[in-house]
Formats: sequence, structure tokens, C-alpha cells
Amino acid sequence: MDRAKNLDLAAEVKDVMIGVLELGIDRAQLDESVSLYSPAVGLDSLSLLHILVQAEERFGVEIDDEDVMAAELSDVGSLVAMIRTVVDAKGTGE
Amino acid sequence: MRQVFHLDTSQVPTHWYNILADLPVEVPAPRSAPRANARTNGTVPGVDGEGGDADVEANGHGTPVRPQLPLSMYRQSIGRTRHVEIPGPVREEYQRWRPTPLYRASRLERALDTPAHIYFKYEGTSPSGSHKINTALAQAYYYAQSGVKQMVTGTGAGQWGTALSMACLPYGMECTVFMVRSSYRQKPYRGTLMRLNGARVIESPSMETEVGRAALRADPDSPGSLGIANAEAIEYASGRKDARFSIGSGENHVLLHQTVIGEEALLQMEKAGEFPDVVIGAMGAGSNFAGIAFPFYREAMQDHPGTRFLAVEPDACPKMTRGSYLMDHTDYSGVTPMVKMYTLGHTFTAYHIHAGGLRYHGAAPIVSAMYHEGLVEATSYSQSRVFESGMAFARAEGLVPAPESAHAVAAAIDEAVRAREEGRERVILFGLSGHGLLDLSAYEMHLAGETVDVVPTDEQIQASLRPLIESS
Repeated sequence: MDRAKNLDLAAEVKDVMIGVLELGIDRAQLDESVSLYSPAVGLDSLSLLHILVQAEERFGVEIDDEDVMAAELSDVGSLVAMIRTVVDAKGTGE
Repeated sequence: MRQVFHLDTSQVPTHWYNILADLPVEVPAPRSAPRANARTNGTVPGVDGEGGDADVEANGHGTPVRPQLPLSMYRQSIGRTRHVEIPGPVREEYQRWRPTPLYRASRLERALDTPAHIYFKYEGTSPSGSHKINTALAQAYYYAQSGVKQMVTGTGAGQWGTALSMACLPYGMECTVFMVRSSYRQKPYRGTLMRLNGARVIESPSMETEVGRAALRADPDSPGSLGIANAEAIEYASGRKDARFSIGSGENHVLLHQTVIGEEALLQMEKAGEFPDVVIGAMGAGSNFAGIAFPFYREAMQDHPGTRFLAVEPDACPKMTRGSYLMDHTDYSGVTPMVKMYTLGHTFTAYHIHAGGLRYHGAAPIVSAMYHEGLVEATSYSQSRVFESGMAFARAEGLVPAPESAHAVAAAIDEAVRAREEGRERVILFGLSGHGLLDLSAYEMHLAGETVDVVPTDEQIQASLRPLIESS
């Protein structure tokens, strides 16, 4: 995936996060280094699942249960990377 | 000869029924736990007055969020697909004992001298002795597919813990069960059965978790509650990477899995040539009631608009008949997402009736929404009346109902008596969710005249609801 597509995907994931978590901020304010557990984000397991379902719909992919359970998510970038992996795999037909 | 309506194994349903596809009312979405609760490691609200809990999933120390639910089951919880395919391996497990029989209770009819036709769907033939294994097997399958190695749960009377411990076996998963103290002591063979299945069984409240220690500090003689047991299980699972907390009561996906009961019963009532005027189920959190009722609700919407659906709860834990429709937590410590439900408040601890599976403080969100809109009815019974009904049923039909299931028996008897008084034929169907062969000590106490009827006061209910009302 080229740099422009990478940026688009990251932006869309952030949009999903902002919507589900009702953060009321602009995506530019959601840097990939921000901790998912920071007061500004406050991710929990329910909202994580909802973000993933929304991302599935937006990108037309299905995320494996095992990938979700094994994920070690720490910051916004790690969530973007996880979804990017699934989208890329779909693109290469894996 | 008793009339029994059998199906063959090929008629085990291939799909679960998702009532969300047809419901004319909105079921409010769950709301995440307040962030203050989710970030503070500390103590248990309602026990020592401080906010916070032992939720380590988002504890402010960077511990990764670990979803407790496989994404597949979350999709089932929020989806609107009417018929959800049962995975092949799960259906094969179901076929080891399903379809369960549906009987006509002819002797009970004669004993009551009623013109009513009484039918019951009997889930006591399952390996665990109750309906709970219908969702336990499904959940174990999805968790195993997710790579989970250990299931952790809370159990009230023990039926759920028994079912989950059995369901883990085909997948080689470990099972840890926090069992409500009152039931742990009243029903020792439940614990034995779970241990026989390889599970670790812990009396709750326990010293193993901060939630349990706080509850014991507040009341060393606490009889425990399902809310506390679940909170302990959540804390225990959250600290272990390969373990997950599983629940078998009121969640949407649990209700979905239980619809195999009603789908089979529909075919069996068709064989009997009748459609029920009233469908009755005992009401803990709602999975048993939903399992028998939801498929009939679907059919009734089309062709039998007068059909009634009756949820039966204990006087000691009257969440529907005396609770309020509020956003509340599903566990005692307040770390779980909030759902809109009829509730007595998540800190409410019901008197330790023998029907421990009905002591849960809230009703399933879907059942609650239906009750709020008048689509289902609710009633409650005293413990002594429930045991009287259970004994009457046992003597007429030769099956000992679990104390939980005997609540449905009591309501079915009242419906049949009303039919007699009104001189009307009426078709009654109830779910006999499990046998009571591990509850004989409770029946023995009843025979000895030791059954106690305890009803919470309005003040007690208001006290546990007040924090919810004030924060809503």
C-alpha cells in the first residue's frame, strides 16, 4: 500500500474512533502516538468491538476472532496497524 | 400413556432466531462504563463508598484492552440478520441430546380438573441437566476459535457453571467458576459436578479478587450474588492473557443461542396440532424465557396475535414486577457496560432463595424493552408456592423440576385453574428448563416445613436504585 493510501486508511480509522467514542475532536488532533487509554480516548472492550465492526463495514473486510483476541493494542497507531493488516491481506487475496 | 412429541436429530435447528430483526421496539444500545470506573484501580462502589474497581482492561497503566467477547458473538449481539446459522460443530454437539422432548402434561391437567391443554418443553435431558448448555457450547466454540485457553465465569445456582465446564471439554479449555456462596453451600453436588468436569470452583465472595475481598470486608457473612460472582470472574479473567470472562444469562447473543428451544417446540406443537394461547418461562436474566418465547413471538405476530408471553420471577427478586427501567451495570462492581433494563440495581443482593438462578438483579435488555412496550407480561411467586407447584408437578408427571423451572410450573397451574374457572379451553406451553435432582435438599427442607418466604421492602429496592436514578 502506498503512502497516500496509508494516510487515507489511518484517517478513516480515526474517523470511526471519533464517532464511536464520541470524542468530539478533529482527526488531526488524534495523533497515532496517543495512548488508547489516555483520558482523551478512553477505549474499553465494548467500544473496541464496535470500532472493529464499523471498520469491517467501511473497508468491506471481516476481521478474525483470533486476531482480535491476540491483539496487543497500546496506542492509536497500533489499532490503525491492526486494521491495515486485515485490509492489506484482503487486497493481496490472502 | 403420556403424550410426547419427539423430533429426530435431523430436525435440530440449523439456525438461531434473532428477534432483533422483527422487534417493533427499539432496544437501546449498551453504553460503556463511566470512564472514572474504568480507569481506577481500587475498591468496589457500593461496598466502601469509593469509585472504581479492579478492571485492568483500561486501567491507566497501559495494560492492553482485551475484548472479553469474540467479535463473532458481538456481531450476533448487534446484528439484524433474522436467522443466524449455527456452526456445524455446535449443531453436532446439540445433536448428542437434542431435540429435547415436548410433553403434554395430561396427568397434571386431570389433577387440576382443567379444560386447559398443558404442554411443556423439557430441557432437563441435556448433559448438564438444564437449558444453559445451549449457549455454553456455542460460546465455547467461538472462544476456542479465538485462541482462548481458559473460560472464567460466575454462576448462581450452578446450572450455568456446570454447562460451561462441560462445554469446555470438547475444546480442551480450562474452566474457572466463581459460584455464589449461598448456592455453593446449598447445592454441594453442583460443585462436585463442575469439578468432575475439570473446572476450578471458587466460592464467591472470595479472597482471590479485590472485588471479593471488598465484599467480604463489607459483610463477612454475605450470601453472595451473581453480580459479585461475575465481577470477580471479570477481574480474574482480565489479569490472564489467555483467559476470558463468559456469561450465560441476559446478553443478546445468549438469548439468540437459546432459541433452539422454541424453534423445536414450534415443530412439536405443530405435531400436536395446537398453538399456545400463553407461553410461560421462568425469568432469571431472561435466556430461558427468551429461548422458549421468541420463536413463538415471531409466529404469533403473523398468525396468532392474541398469544400471551409470561415471564415468571421470584417474589424475592422482582426485577420486572417491582424494578425500574434504567441504564444499569450487569455486574456488582459497575465495570461492565451499562444496558437499559428492568433492574433492582446492580448492588441489590436478593435473599438466598433456592432458585439461585433467578436472583440476578436485572432482566435482559431485549426482554426489558418488550416488557416496557407491553409485548410480554411478568408475574412473581413466593418460594413456598413455587415448591408446592414443583411437588404437584412431580407427583403428576414424575419429573422433579429445578426450583427455577418450578416458577413456570406455578404460573402454568394458575393459568390452567383460571381456564377451569372461566370454563374455557386454553393451550398453555411452558419451558421446564431443568431437572431438580441436584436440588433435593431444597425439596427436603420444604417437606420439613422450613421454606422461608422473604420479600424485599420498597425501601430496600429504592435504596439500591437511588444511585442509578440520581445519575440518570
